[in-house]
Amino acid sequence: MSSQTPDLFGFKPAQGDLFADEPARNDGVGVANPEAVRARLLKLLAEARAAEFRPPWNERTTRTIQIVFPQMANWLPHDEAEQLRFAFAQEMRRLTDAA
Amino acid sequence: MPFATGAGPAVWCHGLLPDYHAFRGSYGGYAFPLCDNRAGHGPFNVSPNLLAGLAANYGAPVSAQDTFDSILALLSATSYTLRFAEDLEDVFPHVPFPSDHALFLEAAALGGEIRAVETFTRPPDAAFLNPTVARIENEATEALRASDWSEGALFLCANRTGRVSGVSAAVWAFSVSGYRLLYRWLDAREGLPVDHALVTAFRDVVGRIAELIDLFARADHLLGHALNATLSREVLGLAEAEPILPDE
Repeated sequence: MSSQTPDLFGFKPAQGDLFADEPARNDGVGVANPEAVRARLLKLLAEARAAEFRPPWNERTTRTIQIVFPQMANWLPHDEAEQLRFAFAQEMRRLTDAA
Repeated sequence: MPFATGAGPAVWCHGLLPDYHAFRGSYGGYAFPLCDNRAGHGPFNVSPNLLAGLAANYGAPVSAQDTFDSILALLSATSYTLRFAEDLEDVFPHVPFPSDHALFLEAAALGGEIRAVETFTRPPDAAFLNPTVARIENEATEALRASDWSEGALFLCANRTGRVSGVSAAVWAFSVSGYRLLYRWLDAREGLPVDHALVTAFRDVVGRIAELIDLFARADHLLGHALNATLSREVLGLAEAEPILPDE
């Protein structure tokens, strides 16, 4: 039986652990690694550049990427962020026009 | 809560560790503490990977408190349990984190209000507890044994004294996982003297429910926007959730 299997009366067992297996320390603030952010933005930009007629993602993912790309760039130095935002916006405009 | 999905909020914020039987008898639910006060742990109990994933996508640091509050808002939205009723019978509630950072912050602010009202850390807003709300029309002359609600009013005593007006149908019907809050609140206190303390507490609960109905409706508006573009587990850098498999 899995831990979520209901008993004969349909009741599921109690929750086993309130804290699961999270790392011991957690200061409660999440920050991003700029290197990882840069790599992801460059990958998305490369995917957009490689596409010919339409965005290379489905409609839903495209909507999400168009929102998060400019936000993610905040983790990079100002000039680099501006350049990436500009390049991405340009690619998305090209793909929208081509579609 | 794993049963009676399709109505009421999917989550409730407690100031203290809730009883396993909170709200729905033996069905129980799941508790997720925001804080972890065990030695060598915490102080927060929100996944650092989730916080880092949100921070990366939002382009700004993200706190555990904001994350907790935004989850509370999104899962309290009036239509959440109805929209996802089928899924909720089988899997844990999914949190549709919005892609837009501003929307996340809005959800966090709203969730903070819901938390404050549900945990009694502030009184209901005056707009929801003015003198016309839960107004005691005449003196109660017996111990508490409330009548059913009819056309905005009810009686606190079996001899039809202690008439209370200004209780809306929505407040009277407000339920969490099938548990009618105001009715059960009165039922649990049957036999107590209807004194100033009880009346004050009763009016406070009515005001809280009225405010929560409004907050949940506002959360629903946010949920509608959030669902247009959500952050997937993949985008957040989280592993795929393990499916809950039926028994062999």
